[in-house]
Amino acid sequence: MKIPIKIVIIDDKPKDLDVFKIELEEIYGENSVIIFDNSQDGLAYIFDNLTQKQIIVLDYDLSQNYNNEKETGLDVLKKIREKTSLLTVIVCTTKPINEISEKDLKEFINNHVFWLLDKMEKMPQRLEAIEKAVAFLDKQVDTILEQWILRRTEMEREIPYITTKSGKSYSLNDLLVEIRNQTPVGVELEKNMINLTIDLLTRDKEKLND
Amino acid sequence: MSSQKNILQWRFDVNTFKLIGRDLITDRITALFELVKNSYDANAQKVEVQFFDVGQSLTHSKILIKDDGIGMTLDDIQNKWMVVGTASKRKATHSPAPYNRRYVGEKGIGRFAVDKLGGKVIIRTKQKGEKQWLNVVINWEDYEKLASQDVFTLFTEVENSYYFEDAQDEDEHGTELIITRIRENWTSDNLERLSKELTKIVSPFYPVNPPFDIYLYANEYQKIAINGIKLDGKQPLKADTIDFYSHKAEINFQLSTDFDLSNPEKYYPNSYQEVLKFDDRNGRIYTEKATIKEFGAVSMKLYFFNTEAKNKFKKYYKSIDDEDTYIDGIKIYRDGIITTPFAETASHVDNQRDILGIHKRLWRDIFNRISTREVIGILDITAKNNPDIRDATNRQDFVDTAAYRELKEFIVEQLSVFEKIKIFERQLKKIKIETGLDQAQEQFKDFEKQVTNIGKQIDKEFEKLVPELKSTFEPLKNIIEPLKQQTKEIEKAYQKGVEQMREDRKEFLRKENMYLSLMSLQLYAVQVAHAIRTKLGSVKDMADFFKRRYPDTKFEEKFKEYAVRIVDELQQLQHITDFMLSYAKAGVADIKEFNIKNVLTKLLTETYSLPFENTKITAIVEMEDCVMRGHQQFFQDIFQQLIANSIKALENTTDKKIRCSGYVTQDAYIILFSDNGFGIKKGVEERIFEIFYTTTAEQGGAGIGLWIAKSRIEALKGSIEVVENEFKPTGATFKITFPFSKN
Repeated sequence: MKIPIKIVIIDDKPKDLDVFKIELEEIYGENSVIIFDNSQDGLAYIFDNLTQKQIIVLDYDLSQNYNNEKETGLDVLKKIREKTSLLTVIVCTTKPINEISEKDLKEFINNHVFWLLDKMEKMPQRLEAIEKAVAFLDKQVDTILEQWILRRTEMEREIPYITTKSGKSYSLNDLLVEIRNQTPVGVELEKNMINLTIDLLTRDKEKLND
Repeated sequence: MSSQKNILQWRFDVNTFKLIGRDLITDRITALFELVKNSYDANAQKVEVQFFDVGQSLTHSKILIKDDGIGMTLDDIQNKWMVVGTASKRKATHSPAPYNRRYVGEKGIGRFAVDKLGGKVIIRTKQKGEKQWLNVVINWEDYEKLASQDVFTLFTEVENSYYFEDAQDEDEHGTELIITRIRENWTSDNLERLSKELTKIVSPFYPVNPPFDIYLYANEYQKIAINGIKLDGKQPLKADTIDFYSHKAEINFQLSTDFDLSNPEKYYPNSYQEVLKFDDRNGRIYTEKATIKEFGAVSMKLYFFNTEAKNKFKKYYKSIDDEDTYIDGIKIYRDGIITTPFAETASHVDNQRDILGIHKRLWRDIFNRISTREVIGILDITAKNNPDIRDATNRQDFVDTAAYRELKEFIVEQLSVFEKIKIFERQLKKIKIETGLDQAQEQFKDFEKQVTNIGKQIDKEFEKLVPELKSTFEPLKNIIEPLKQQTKEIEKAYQKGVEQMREDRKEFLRKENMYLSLMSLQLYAVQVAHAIRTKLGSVKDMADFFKRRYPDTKFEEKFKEYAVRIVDELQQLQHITDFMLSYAKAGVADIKEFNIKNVLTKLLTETYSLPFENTKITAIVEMEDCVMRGHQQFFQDIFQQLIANSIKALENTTDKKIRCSGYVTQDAYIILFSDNGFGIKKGVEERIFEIFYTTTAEQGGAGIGLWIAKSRIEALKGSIEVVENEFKPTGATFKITFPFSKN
């Protein structure tokens, strides 16, 4: 089952993104794109919908216009990263890259920006960036794992699922938190999953479905 | 396991002496100052600073600093002088009676300043009534040697020897520092400089009683005289009286007995600080009473030297160097002793005088700023009244406190009255010159007439002469004609000169105007740059969409929508480029008639439509028709500046509005320009028009905008003032008045 993707755009000039939205929805389906003109509403939506596959597109120039917007795209990125390291985030700007400060560029890299999109580029190139982000998202083990957990019912997710050597037990919900925060437990679980899969495949217990 | 306490202790590497001596005190003169200050604190009345053989070779050189102060006992040396960091003066704040000198040496490291001067020092000291002189030998080179060895030595392990010498007179007292192994040569220039700086050590206006006299001696330079005092140690150094200035201003203060600086909220009716104001009707400086500021009460005397004064000075002193050290900017004295720093080399003259940052301003050669080369200022503070103005450890600046920052601003504000004087005098001069020029013209004509008359008279008398005399007087008759010719030539040359001067002045004005217009243009460009880029991106996308997708019927509605939008947005972009291009055609001679209502409506609804759209500002324009004759560019500059100002003020407002209204009265056309932003702070309604005054430095304000607006308004014979804001609860309203001309 192909899980629908949501492309969440935070940009204070939604009107200028009209064409981009049309092109994206042609590819990823109607209602696959949602645009917020301020960071507050945008972040609220993102955090409410962590269960969904989301690609976030942030406008770097958010607070350029003395318009009550205090956060730049970089600030929003950092806020997202505080909660989860797993969302794929693209930052876009009209500024040429040599006008972005060194400090900000470092922050982009260190906060795992997936792509730096130039708004002045031709449409096909911009669409390609989104395509790459989607492909990237699809093949992440943690995404898949995360989505498997989220397919269980609320009750299923609450019961203890794993107990560690030191006696601490984790429900699926707990594991979700661990995975998102990439804690040692979360990382360990991921590794175990991958190991198990490879093990099963090599022992011929499972075949890779075509 | 044992429960014994484990202890570690601090130790100081032998290199410490360098850290707190040579490396911390950055120049020799500061070092000497510190030592002279110590003498002051020791109640000395006389300090002798003596240099021996410091000019050429340094093998036998010696520096002596000898005072007749209280002197020290062995206990003092051991438990105070040789204890690093004590301000043994800390507990007491004043030296013993009858001197009651406020202690000025505070940090307790002044003694290491000696290391800056020489490698070895003998401290020879004695108190009154003691039978012997105590001599302590500190050989910094021993410390150096130990520092360079591999053996790890502690500062506190170094041994310094001392011995006693019988005194001839038990009543003698004082301290002498005998410094040898002098590190660097002292030239006559160095000593001249030192002497001049030493004369500044005591405030010329703060009473130092009993006296504190400094005698300077240099065996190789005894003939050199500074302010009439030779370097022969026979007379105490004397400060220059301040003379030749063109303007003087003074501020004082009054403190009531209940005044408490730490409680600024309270109202103290009998305490005030005087501040300087300028009356531009008569060009006079006067004082006004204000509340005591955060840095405490201060008194200050300022002496301004305009060009005329400087010329008088130059004639008297005949040397440019003297001007540099004489007119030396602002000096701060605490309790009568100088605290502002100074450096040795004249090449840093500007920097040394400028810890107050008076030089750090933009476009210094164009506008009427005061430089430290035109002012002498003596600011007197006291440790009691101004506790937050503290010396930094290296004595080269003050500690950066809020009080100090405010003091700097305060000083600059007081200096601004001299800027206004400059402008005022320049206007007067211009008027004088012009009348002078006209008068000179008249005089030439008069002179020519006189010469012609004389000629006629000579001719008349000549005819009456007998033939023999005629031949004698022939040459005289022939002088007149050439004389008349010469007069005509001189007049022609003079005319040319005047014309050239008028041309130059026009050229200067043209450049100044161009410059100011460029600044307005740049301001606009900065505002629209981002908006332009974004807009272009959006238009490109839509046009590109057409290119790729037309004629897909699925998007028919979109095509229609985009067609309209592309045209609209390109139109906005066109307004912007038109506006910027209009600057390319600007010239001073562009005086023409224009309709105020049309120009302002276009500016606010077309030219600024894009920026206003981005910043979500609503512009309201309600103007009556009126035709003005003037420079349209200048007129636009005014409102550009006001708009830029409003955009900043509106940053945090939710329902942003700018309103521009204009109406006709009997004598003038009035324009009201308002916004509902954060408004103008009470008390600065006049100051905001001053150049470089800004309250929006954090948003990039340079303090130029409103000054430009005011200059332009005045160039158009109008006036501007802040009136009660139209928008409530917060906002600002500017009222601009353009009086109708007589015809």
